[in-house]
Amino acid sequence: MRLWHFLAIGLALLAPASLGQDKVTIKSWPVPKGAAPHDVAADPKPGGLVYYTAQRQGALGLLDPATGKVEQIPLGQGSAPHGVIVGPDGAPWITDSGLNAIVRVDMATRQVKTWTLPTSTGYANLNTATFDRKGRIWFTGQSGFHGRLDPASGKLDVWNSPLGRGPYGIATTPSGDVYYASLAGSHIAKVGLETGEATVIKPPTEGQGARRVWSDSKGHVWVSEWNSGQVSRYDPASASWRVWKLPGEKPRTYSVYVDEADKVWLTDWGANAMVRFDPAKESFEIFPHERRGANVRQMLGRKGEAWAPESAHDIITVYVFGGA
Amino acid sequence: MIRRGCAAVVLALALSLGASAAERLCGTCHAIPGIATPSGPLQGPTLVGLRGRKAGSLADFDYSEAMREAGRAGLVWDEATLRRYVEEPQAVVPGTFMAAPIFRDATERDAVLRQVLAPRAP
Repeated sequence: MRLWHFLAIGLALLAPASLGQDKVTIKSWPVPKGAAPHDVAADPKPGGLVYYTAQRQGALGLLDPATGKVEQIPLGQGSAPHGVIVGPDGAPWITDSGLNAIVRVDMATRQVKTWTLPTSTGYANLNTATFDRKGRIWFTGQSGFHGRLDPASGKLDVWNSPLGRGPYGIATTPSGDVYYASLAGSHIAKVGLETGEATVIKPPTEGQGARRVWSDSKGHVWVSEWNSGQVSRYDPASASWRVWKLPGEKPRTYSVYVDEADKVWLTDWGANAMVRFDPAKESFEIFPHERRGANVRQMLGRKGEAWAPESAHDIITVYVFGGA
Repeated sequence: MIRRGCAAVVLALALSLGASAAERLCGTCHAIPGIATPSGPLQGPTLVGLRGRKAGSLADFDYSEAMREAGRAGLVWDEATLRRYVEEPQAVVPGTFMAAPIFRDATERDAVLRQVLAPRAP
């Protein structure tokens, strides 16, 4: 096991940004050079560990924000982890495209457990995962798959996604429904939790490139649209859409995360910025990244914090808001 | 005759390795020479005809500004520039959108480079 310990003083970068109505403080930590942190997941407990996927180093990263201490746990030969989430059991769960497997790390023992996709599936290009309310983990494979693992029984199912290649971000609504976004397919889909059947739902903009999804507290599904540079919102109750274009000359919306106040956090690669959207006011706040081409590919958060890995710079950044 | 046969088998295996690895590592986002192009819009520019192409120069693809800048600065794709790029994309084109592909080893990397720089279907 490799261990890095970075002193918070001097290395942690602190930048208060009092833009808009709610003061936001931005703080960053370096992770090992070459890690290329792809996704991030914060333990829901305040001040808890923040996990990241060290995609180019085949490891799960652990950042302790209180001390700046960073540790990486190797996930095995051939690992190239893409997504990480914290499961209902409190453990980090990983979608590992290199291993073609779902991976769990036991934080008490550091034991790595792997569920490999069936050989018949082939290379799924595993992307992102989410848990349903029955403790089953759902995942996407960009090669054209979505699947489900029941950790209790070990049963792993994989389905061919409608319209093929493209399944990318995936999220669960408060009522337990699971939706994924298809980047190449330019749609979102709702999965049948028992059948695995995915029902395609097309956003109003043709070829928009739905990349990631997240739910707000009301069960609205928010979609980051890469090709169109928009954010859109699907209301399952009325089967209706709203769409907003991000500010700037040429926005490219990569990731989306909705915080506990139903503010929508987005990353815009065109502007190289973090963006916060207030649906009530239909207004955007822009937080430019300090470093060129930050390439934030995903976000996740906990109360008062939105976490973002700057994959191009081996840096993990948090946006602290709301007086947390 | 046997030696020639063995060489042909080795070449066929190398091409097969390059094709399968290129499809796995690059095929989600790019069209690749010798491999069927998936339907629908692709996130990356076509790699067909890549050898000798100026970076960021296809008129019908919406590149990042960083890639267009690299092309204006003289970056042209060949084996040397592409090898450096796939190993350290940000070092070659700071601000590029592309993530580094995760090769199993140098053999796989070189096989992929041969595949994507092929002038036509091998």
